Amino acid sequence: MATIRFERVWKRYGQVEAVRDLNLTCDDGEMLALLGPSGCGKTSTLKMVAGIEEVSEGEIFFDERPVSRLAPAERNIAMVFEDYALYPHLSVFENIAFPLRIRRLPGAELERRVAAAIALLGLEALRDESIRRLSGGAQQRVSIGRALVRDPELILFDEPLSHLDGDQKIQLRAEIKRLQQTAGLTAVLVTHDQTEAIAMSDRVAVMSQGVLQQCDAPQQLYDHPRNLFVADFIGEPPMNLIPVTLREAEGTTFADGGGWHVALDLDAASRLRRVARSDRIILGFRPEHVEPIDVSASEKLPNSLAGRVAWTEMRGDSHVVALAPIQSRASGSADGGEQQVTIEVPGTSPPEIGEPILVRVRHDLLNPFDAETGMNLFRRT
Amino acid sequence: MTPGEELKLRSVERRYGDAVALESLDLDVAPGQILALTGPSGAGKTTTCRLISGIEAPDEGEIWLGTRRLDELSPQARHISYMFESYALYPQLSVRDNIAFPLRAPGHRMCYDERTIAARVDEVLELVEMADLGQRMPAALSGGQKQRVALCRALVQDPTAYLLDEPISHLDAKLRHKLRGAIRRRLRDSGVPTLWCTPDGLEALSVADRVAVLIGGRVEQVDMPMRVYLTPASVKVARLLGDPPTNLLEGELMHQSDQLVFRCNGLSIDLPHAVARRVETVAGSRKVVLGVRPTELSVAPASAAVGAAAEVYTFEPFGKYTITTVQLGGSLIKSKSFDQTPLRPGDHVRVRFQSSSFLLFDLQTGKALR
Repeated sequence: MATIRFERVWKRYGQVEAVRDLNLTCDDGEMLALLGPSGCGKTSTLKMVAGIEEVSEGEIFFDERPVSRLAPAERNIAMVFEDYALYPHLSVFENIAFPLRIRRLPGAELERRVAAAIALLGLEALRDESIRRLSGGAQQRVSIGRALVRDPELILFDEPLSHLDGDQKIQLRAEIKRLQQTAGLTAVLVTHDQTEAIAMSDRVAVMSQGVLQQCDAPQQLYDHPRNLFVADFIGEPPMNLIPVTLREAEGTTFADGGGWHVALDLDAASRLRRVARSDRIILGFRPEHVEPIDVSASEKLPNSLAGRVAWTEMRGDSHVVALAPIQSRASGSADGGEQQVTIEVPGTSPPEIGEPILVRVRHDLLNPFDAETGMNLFRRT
Repeated sequence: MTPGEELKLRSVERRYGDAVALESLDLDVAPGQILALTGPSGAGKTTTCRLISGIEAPDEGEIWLGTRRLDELSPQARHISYMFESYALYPQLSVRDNIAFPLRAPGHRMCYDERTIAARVDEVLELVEMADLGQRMPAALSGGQKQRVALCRALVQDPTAYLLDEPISHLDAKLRHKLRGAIRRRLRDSGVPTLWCTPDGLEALSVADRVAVLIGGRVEQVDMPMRVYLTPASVKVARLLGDPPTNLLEGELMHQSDQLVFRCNGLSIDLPHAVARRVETVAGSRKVVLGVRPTELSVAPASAAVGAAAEVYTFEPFGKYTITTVQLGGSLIKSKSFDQTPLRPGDHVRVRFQSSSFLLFDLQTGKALR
């Protein structure tokens, strides 16, 4: 299969700039997700790859071949749509065979390739079944079979799971990923669902208002978001983002804000001194990136927050806990109101409402952001 | 605000022709309490709401609110706030007027002047983050926004009970998280009973004081969320709860010298003594379903000293945790881990079951062995 490369790609609809100066690569055998809220430009990007929309400026390459002037049929791309787009009056076999019949492939060759696709997707038992009688998940497997049977250079998945419910979604999500990995497919996945993007892709490109915000491996995106948009968009419950003021006292750097007073570890403090342009920053950390510490431990422990349980919510094998700051010190923050912090703790016994809790943000998972530009101050690039 | 009263369903039945939609349903919802009714689609959740609201009448049984027979009153006289799964917004009315509608209705429990109505509408719109969309018409709203308006129209009232049929299912994850907490606190403060219907088992555990699992028109289990999660009453309940749900393996229990062993497809698991004490194995062996939570088994490299040999089927990193599905014997088994090194399909691994709380169900009846 091919590598796809976007070079300075723009898409304009009249005055509206749907995609702005996109530079992005999807490697051979890689699954790349385009993720973002509606209107972010992900669907326009997909349509330009498919040739359904023209590129306004810039170029898209398959390997070293520019394709933006090629008609959709000349690009050898297969698409899987959210509503399956199958022929309801045809059987599973005939739906998958359809693109080959159009190409007038000889009977034996057609039979062989359709059978291979059917086996790959575990559809043997449903081979002669009518499409109407299949579940949504099985229908989407058929449409993936129809995409694969042509041996395309690239597969585009357009919200492939959004019409499926619970169980079927979870199952097909894993199946598509397995298929993509074992068959070495180059694939672009468009989705608004971050769980899907993160679980299925090798890398995720997060877009907002036509601009690529970050493209990284899921864990990197999750642990070290490049800016506030990505930080807030990825993760549920969302990342804690507290506007703070940095303060030096007794050789320690404190971050004060929202009623919290966080003593920063020496490494974080010295890095911040180098990169922060202002003493007003936004401190970010994920709810699950904290660990409870014994309350008897010192509250001056680096990167720790002392709070009181405001409410808890059960999430099966974990609990989401909202903490309100314990306002005990008279250091007097001028940062206005109190801001609750959300943490997620594993286990099936929740803390009591009102109970004091001391938590520490796990090493290297504290993310400070520039309050003006929104950029992560600890990112190397 | 008048003090709330308990909502009670007693032996309620509803049939459509030969089909039994609800079978001998008993439910109790205390004032200020949220009972989550969860189950797959077609279980009877919406039918239950329709019977309580008075849109439909039960074929058998009684519905009580405190000391009053609710099912003998007209729907209007029940003063129940019911949010429909289909939203049922008035297309010719703005968002604000849709929400204010029940407060202006002549039959409403309280009488409000327009200033009070405006303040109440503002307050609920604020709650669902739609303060600036009050003048919009429903046709100009997204699906998620329509759902929030329908929710507002239910929350704005001072009812005798709330019935919320899938109140937050079409919202994005972030808003769902926020509203789960905010609505839950508000409903508790209201001091009246709430029935919250959802097909999402995890949502039920999160919002409810008690959870009723409804499957095929029958209540499989009613209990506190933690108890439903930790000790599901049947295979059907276990299959519905958890993210991902509990692994369920069909096999046989037998004694080997002093040890109780579970066997299926060449797989053999020694069960802890605490589990052994829960079951009596009649005449040597017994057919059971073993439930293993995804967090209670670990996946190690093939070079590990212990564990059953298995092959990776899929590997899904979710950021905060990973789910590894392995092929073990003839079964696909899921493991959920917070510190898993990356794997690929086809990798050989070893699987260890590290549970002290295996679930056991009778294979025939599907009921938990306790």
